[in-house]
Amino acid sequence: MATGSTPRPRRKVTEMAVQVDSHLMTDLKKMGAFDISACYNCGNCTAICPLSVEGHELPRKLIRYAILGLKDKIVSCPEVWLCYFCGECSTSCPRTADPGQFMMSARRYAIRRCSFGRVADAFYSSKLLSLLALSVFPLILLGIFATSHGPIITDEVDMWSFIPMDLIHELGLIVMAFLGLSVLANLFIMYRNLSRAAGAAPSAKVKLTRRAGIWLKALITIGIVEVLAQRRFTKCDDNSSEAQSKKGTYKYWAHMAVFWGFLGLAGATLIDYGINEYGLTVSRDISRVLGIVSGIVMMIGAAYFIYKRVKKDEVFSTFSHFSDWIFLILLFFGGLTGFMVTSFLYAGMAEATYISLVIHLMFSFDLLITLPFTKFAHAMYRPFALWIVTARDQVSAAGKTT
Amino acid sequence: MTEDKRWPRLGFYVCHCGGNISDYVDVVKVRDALAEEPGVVVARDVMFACSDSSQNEMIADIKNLKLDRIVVASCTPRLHEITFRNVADRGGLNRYTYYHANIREQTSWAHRDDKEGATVKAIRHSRAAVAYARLSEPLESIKAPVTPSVLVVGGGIAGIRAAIDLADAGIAVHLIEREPFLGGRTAQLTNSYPQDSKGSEVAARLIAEARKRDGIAIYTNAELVGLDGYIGNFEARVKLNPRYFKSSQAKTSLPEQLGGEAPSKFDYGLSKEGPVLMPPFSGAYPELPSLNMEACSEDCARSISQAYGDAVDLHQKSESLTIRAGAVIAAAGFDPYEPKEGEFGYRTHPKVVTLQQLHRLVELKMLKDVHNIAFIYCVGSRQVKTGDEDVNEYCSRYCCNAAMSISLVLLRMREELGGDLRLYHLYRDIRTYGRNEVLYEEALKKEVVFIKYSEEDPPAVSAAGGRLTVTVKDLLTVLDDKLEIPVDMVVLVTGMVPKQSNDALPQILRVPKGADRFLLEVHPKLKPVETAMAGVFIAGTCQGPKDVRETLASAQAASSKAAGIALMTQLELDPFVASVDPKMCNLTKACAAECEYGAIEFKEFPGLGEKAWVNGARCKGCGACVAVCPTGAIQLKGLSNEQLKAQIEALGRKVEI
Repeated sequence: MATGSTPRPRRKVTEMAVQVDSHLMTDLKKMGAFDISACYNCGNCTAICPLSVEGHELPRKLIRYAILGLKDKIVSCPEVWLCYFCGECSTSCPRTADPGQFMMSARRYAIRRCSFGRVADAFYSSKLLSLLALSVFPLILLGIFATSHGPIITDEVDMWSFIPMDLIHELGLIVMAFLGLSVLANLFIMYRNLSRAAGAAPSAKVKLTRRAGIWLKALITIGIVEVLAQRRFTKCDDNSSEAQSKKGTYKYWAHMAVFWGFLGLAGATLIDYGINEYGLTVSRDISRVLGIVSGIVMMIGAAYFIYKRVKKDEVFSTFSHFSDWIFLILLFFGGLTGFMVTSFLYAGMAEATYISLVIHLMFSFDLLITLPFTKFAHAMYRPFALWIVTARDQVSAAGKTT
Repeated sequence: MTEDKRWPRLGFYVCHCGGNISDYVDVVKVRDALAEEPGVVVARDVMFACSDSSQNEMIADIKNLKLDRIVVASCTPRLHEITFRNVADRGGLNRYTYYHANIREQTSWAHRDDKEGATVKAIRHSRAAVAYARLSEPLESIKAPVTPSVLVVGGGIAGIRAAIDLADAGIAVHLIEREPFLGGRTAQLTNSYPQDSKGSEVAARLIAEARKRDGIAIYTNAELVGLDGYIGNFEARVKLNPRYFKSSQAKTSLPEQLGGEAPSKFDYGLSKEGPVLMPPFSGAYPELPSLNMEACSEDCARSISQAYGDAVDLHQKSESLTIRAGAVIAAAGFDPYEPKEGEFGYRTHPKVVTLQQLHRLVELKMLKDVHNIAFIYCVGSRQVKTGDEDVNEYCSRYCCNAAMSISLVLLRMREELGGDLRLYHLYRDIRTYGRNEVLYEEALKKEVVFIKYSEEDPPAVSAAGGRLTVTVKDLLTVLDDKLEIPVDMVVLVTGMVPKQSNDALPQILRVPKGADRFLLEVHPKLKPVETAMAGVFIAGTCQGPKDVRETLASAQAASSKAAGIALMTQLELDPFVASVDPKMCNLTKACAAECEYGAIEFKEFPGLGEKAWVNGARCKGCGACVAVCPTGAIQLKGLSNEQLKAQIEALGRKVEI
């Protein structure tokens, strides 16, 4: 039953027992679950959670796993990813044990434990280590630019002379390859963990083709409903008061802004890339306008979260782990520097454009390359977990009806 | 009033009770029906029989109409029997010639749906009361002298506390303790809740207080072997076992081989003790060592003789002592439940200890390098009865609190224990009642892990592969698997059981045992420290599980009850006891064999020879002897067979309304 990287003596599979680890709570407390040991297991949190459903109860179940020290259970239950932290459990907890913040901590913990080679530990265990890990790639980048940039033309703005397009292209390919492989590796670890929790195949009675159909349909549904529209986020609403509910709505739209802004920026980059590399015959203005609008939208979203985390006036923002800040700062400055590049470009300020380009590339490449190990990883883990849960539940339901 | 040879003159009063009775019972019909009963001189219905005006009316009737019996049909005698006995007294009658009929609780309230039936029943009950009263005789309360001292059995905190209170009331106290030192089990605790005081300090403070008082005679190594007499006049037989030590001045040090190999009783076997028992804690009393001769060979005796010289007297013999006392307080304590061998790994694994042992381990600073500790609750308590075997069905009530409290002590010692400390509490239910909830709260906040197990599937302790592991199914977690907790120590949270060495005590004190085999009080709510044996009171844990506070409170309750007796110059007891007509007694002694209270004695009667005689101070009036007497020589006063027959006859007579 032993999982994770901690070496343990091999156990017989038949023995139905799960080992308790006395250090789990210490780890979780470091990541924000400060009050959770006050929990006396009443279950109010689960009763009130708008996202808790039969079969996927949260957060009490996970709190028990944590208190008992069941490391493997925490990382192998998809419920970690089913929470969107509306905070209603925390406001209604009779013990002020802050179950919402606990769920966030469990998520941070899950990100650490689902990353290959425990790379994510570097971004979660200490602030210093985290800063070092974050600066690795930007420093390399800076070194590369310092040694291989082109002529600095100051009488007109010519970015691609300063930094050759090919260089960006190659760097981009390397980053994307690394990113892709990391995402795959981490998702594989997660899949393995989730499968372990699910035990045997959900239902062997369902035919392979039907199962494949269910999985495919779930993928599409989750992709549209939960990734693009993020419907569960709207359900995650602290309805304890109208004001709370309103705050929840703002939070949803801010999240959507960040998400769609980022998506827009990715789209703009792709279009630009297409024009440059494959001679795509569309106006460069399309990618520019899309980029500017998306950048602004993303920055507004990120700014909202930064503002909330500074003001600490909502349950979700009262405590911010440094990993939360890192993610928001990378997002915001990634957007801001991109915006600056465009602005300076149009203003014809050559040097300012080149400098902000370098900074922008450092931020945005860093954001991407660290994605599978930082808070950004939720963008891959959550849809993946939702997909697996949805598909498995449907397969098992199909197995029961046949 | 048989010597008067005239028909008794009865006054009958039926009470409306402001509608409580008269709404359902036609009290006028009752009055009229009873007016026709032979001997009834006056029958009245009154609004409130207990009111002053009604009482005065009765007294006037007694005087004017020359009544010699009164009967009141009203509420339960528990409420107003004494009121109307006093009316009889004030009217100049013998107070025991009053009798009652309960027509409220047993009639009007019970038969609200049948008014006619209620009225018939009220008439029957009233007739029976009149029939009884007709045959009642003036009785005198039993008067007994009182020995103005109290015997306290047990020198733990309950006994010492009771002794102090009694001494403060000016009463001579004999405090006897079977062990060589005072202090009892409390002195063995490293921590007692609330307020975290050391048990030995609590005991030492009480001992110091007791020693300040002249009125307390303390006997240690003293065992109660018999108790004769009755309330106000007990005679206790006490066996004084020799201590052998007269002073603690050793001339030379003891040879090392006398260090001893026997498991120490005080440390629950966690240390060894030799034949010489030293005072086990600071403030213990007496400050003299005691020699356990059974563990002392001839060589040992010789070395002790050499070492202590005149300070020891190895020729001491046990002595018998008779202590006279007006009342007895049993404060004889408890035993911690001793798990069976193998129960949760007890005695099969050295790191499985009881809660009491944990206290000693902490006190003796024997805990080192423990990181994970599992506490298993309810060991030996709340057992489910399956067969005929005695089980402990009760909750020992102090253990949850004690486990919390010692856990907080351990958490404060975290650094000493090796830094990293995790406590797992495996419980069935947490019962940290009252203020103790704060302990639970603190334990929760300090990350003590609580795991709820079911009594049907208790935790298992295994030591396979040299690693102590507790396997348990946690009822609080959605989990198919059992939890496997690697631990360094298992603490069995053991409760309290009746003290084994007190087995003979119920017999000696003639106090019954309850369902849980502890000494039993008369009534858990109304008479919580009194026993079926008048004059014998119970205090502390010999009555059932209690914590330190509850023990001391019950000791003070018992001491005030005992003081109430010891301070009397004379005891007055109800006269409803058995008495023997010596002329009819055939001396079968069946009565004596039946009597649980030792009230039957045999005396020489002039001209009749040896006959049975009832010691009224001891008799409870239960009637067991009456039932077995083949000649009917023994009868209960105020409850004779004739009276019962007359009542039955009256109850059966036809009622016409």
